[in-house]
Amino acid sequence: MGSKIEAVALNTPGFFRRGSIDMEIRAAKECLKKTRLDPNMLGLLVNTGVYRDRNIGEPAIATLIQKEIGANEIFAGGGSTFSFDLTNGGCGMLTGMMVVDGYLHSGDIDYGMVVTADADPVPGRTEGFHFTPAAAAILLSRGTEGHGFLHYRTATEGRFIDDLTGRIEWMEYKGKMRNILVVKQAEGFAASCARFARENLDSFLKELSLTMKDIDLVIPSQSPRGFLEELKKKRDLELKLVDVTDKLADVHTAGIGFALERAMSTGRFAAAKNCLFLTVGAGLTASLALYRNQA
Amino acid sequence: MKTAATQGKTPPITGKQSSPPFSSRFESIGVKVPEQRLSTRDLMSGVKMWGKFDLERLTGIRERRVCSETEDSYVLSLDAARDCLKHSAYQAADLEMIICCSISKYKDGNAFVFEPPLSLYVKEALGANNALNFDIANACAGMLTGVSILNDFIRRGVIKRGMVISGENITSISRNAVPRVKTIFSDQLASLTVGDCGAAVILERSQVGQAELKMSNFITLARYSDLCTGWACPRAPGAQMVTNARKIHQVAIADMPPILEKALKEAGLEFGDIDHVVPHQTSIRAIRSGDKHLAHYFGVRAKNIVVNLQEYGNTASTSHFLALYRYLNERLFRPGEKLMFIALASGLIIGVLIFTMDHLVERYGIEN
Repeated sequence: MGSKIEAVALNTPGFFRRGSIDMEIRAAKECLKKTRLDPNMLGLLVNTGVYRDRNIGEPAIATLIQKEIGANEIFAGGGSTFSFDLTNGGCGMLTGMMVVDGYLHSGDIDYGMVVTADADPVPGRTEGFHFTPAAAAILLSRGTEGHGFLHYRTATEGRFIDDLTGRIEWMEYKGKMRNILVVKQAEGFAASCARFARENLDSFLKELSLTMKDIDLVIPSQSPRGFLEELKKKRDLELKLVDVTDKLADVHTAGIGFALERAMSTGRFAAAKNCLFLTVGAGLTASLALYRNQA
Repeated sequence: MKTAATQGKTPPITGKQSSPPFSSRFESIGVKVPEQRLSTRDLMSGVKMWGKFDLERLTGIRERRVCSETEDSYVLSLDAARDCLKHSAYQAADLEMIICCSISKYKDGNAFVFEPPLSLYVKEALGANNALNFDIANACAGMLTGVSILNDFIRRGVIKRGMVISGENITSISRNAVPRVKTIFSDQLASLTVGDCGAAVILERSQVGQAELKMSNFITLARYSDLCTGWACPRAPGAQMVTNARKIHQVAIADMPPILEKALKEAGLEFGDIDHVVPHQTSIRAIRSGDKHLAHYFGVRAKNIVVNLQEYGNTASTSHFLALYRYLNERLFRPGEKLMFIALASGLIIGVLIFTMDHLVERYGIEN
């Protein structure tokens, strides 16, 4: 039994600038609203965003979201919510879902949510930050036998460990020493991601004794820029990929949320039996998951 | 740098387990404390406060360890992980998961790493090629949160063993607080209590006759999530932190006893059954006050409270494992004794971990 996706919700800044935490709160609230779920039913809340307002390191951003959505803010002796942050670059949201899936499977919780957002933490004090501000929230519940998230695979390739880095560095900036967020991406990173994703896709399908013909839909990362174009070069993959870069390019950790929402709103997700989540991120890391819909 | 792809995959999930089939235990603990010491007297010599104030008397912290120029979160995590493997029956290649849990994620000195995750750098340096890796952050409850996640994977039978690591290079918040603290009501006063430390722990599937971890549900009392906040300092290298320590203590005193009671009930234990209580190491006064309230609530005094903040200060997410490591090396635990770790962290997180000491004690001590 794997966990079931109950709902996905998105948020972007719109006309006014909105920080990562505000976007996550809005996405989380929308997700709960779609399912009419009492926030107090949430057992686990995991934030997987990498770039957060003011570069906050403490407390976990998830605790701030928990407060604003009103999920078991105090201990009343009954239900409770546990929140923490998890980061794994562009693969974070899928890793977060794998962790939530585990707690659902153990029977420790009945509902878990993964929320993610990236936004320029301190505008004017960053170098190379190129991600589009965007948030996504995905609500999971315990599924039924043989459906939901059934298999995972994660692989890393250390040769490319410094090909995408995001760090705060103490450096001279506009004539003064400052803590500056510096994001660097090597040329050819997208091609490396696509090649590594394809290799792991083949291995994953082989492990599961499946072929691409058995896969109806692929929910991929939407960054780095050029990744999807490279990925589409793989035979049998182009028509199955959900690509939202026509509307929004360079969405970082929330990318699979945007792809999932597009697939759900167009009916492609409901029509698919086997869905493949395929994420890539700094490291180089590739994470995959097989999700089976109920007929 | 490794050239071959490394992977950590989880096997298929086969069905709901009403009760997860396995349990886990601590197989090995490792610690790295920097050599450099900073006394409270020396730290406070830079603080210009109104009136008399004795931080050492208030907190019980005599000194703390401070990273040298060549040490950072990555170095502390890696050295602690290596120390952990030295005390372990396993090699790095046997690890199936590595979770890095520190609040601070400094590498190459002052660079705070957001991506790739710090756990990947440690995994690569160790040669833990079969480990799935990711970072988590949950303030001072980080390592216990990592233990909770790893415990979940082990007890479901997805993996057999993994490592939780943390490298807290946090004394920049002390340095940055020194010019800001003017009175005992300063919101950066608590920043003066911290120390640097790295810690690592290997969890493995428990075999028949071995001890088992009993995790209670960790709870986030999110109404109080803004009582302690840390972020990159705009004016100096490192971070800064503001804390409403008084309010945190009030909430902890009020809410902790019933949460502990629930955890004890789930473990089938009474408070009097616990031989050693290991609290988060904040200040001696707060720990004594908590001890009194627990004694009043449960009607019985804790048999022993493990305190080691005199020499190390508050080492954030590593504090429980530093205390455990020190007691193990001083041979102060005996097999069969019951330990209770109590997490108290920004968020506000309260959590409990109960376990029985087993033959882990044999790997530590003077001769080891």
